[in-house]
Amino acid sequence: MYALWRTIGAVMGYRDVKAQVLSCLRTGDILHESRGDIDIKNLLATGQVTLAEVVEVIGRSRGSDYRCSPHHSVDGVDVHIIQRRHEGVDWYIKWYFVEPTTVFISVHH
Amino acid sequence: MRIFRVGDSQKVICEHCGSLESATFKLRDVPFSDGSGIVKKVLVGVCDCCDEVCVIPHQSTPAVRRQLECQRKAVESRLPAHLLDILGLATSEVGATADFIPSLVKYYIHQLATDPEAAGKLKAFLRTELAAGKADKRLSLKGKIISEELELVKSAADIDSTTDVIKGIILKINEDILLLKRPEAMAELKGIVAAVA
Repeated sequence: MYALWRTIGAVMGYRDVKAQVLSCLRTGDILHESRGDIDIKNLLATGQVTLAEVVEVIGRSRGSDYRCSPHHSVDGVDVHIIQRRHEGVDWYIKWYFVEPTTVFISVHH
Repeated sequence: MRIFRVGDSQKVICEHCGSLESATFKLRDVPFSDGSGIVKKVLVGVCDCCDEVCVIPHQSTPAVRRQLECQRKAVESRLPAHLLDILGLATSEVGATADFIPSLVKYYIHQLATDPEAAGKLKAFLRTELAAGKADKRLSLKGKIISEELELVKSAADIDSTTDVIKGIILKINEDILLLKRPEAMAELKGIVAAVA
C-alpha cells in the first residue's frame, strides 16, 4: 500500500514539476547555476542547445524518466532530475526552483 | 525572457556558501570550467555573502556562446616563411590572391578529414627538407568546424602537433598544386575561387 501511495505521489509531483519548469522555459524565467565559473558541459548555459530543445525533451518525458531528491546542502529545496533518451541522445537535466524561477544545475548530453 | 539589470538581485543557492543567499547581478570576467578561456564583462549573479559568481542569467548565454565559438574557431600555427610562400604561389596558381590562403588550407583540411588514407601520407612530408626552417611567420585559421576537422586529420595522420600537421598539409598543397598540378584539385579549387571572387 505504501509503495502504491508513493508511486501515485511521485507521478502527481512530477506533473506539477514538469508544468512549472516548462512554464519557466517558455517565459525565459531561468538561471544557470555557477560555481565561480561557466560549466563547459552545461549545454544550455553555453548556448549549445536552445530553450526549445530542452522544452521538447522535458515535454516528452514521463514519470519514469524523473526523480527528485533533497538539495545536498539546503534544507527544503528539492532537486529535480530528468534523464531520458530523446532522438538517439541521452539527456541529463537537473534543476531546482526558487519561486518563480528555475535554476538549472545541469543540462548535459 | 526575464531580463536582469546590473544591480538587480535574486535569491539562489550559493554552492560556495552552501546556503540560500541573495545574489546581485554584476558584470564580471568569468572563466570556463575547463580553463580554456574567459567571458569578459558578462552579467552574472554574485553572492552577497561570499562575492563568488553563483548564477548566470539566460540572457548572458549568447555572450558565453560567442566566446566559446571564438576559442574553438581559431587555429594558430607558427611556420617557416617559405611555407607561407608556397601557399601564396598555390593560391596564385588557382587564380586567387593571398586572401584565399586560409580557405585553401581549410579546403585541404576538410578533404583530408574525410580521407584517412590521404591523411596517413602527411607524415612523409615532414621528413622532407622543406618541412624544416625557423618558424617566424604565423598562419591563423578560423571556422566553425576547423578544430574538429583538424583533430580528425591529426588522428588519421598519427601526428600530435597541430603545427606539424599544418606543415604536412602545406607540403601536400605544394605537391598537388605547384609540382604535379593535379587536374581534379586544380579544377575544384578554381571553381571555389570563382564562386567566392
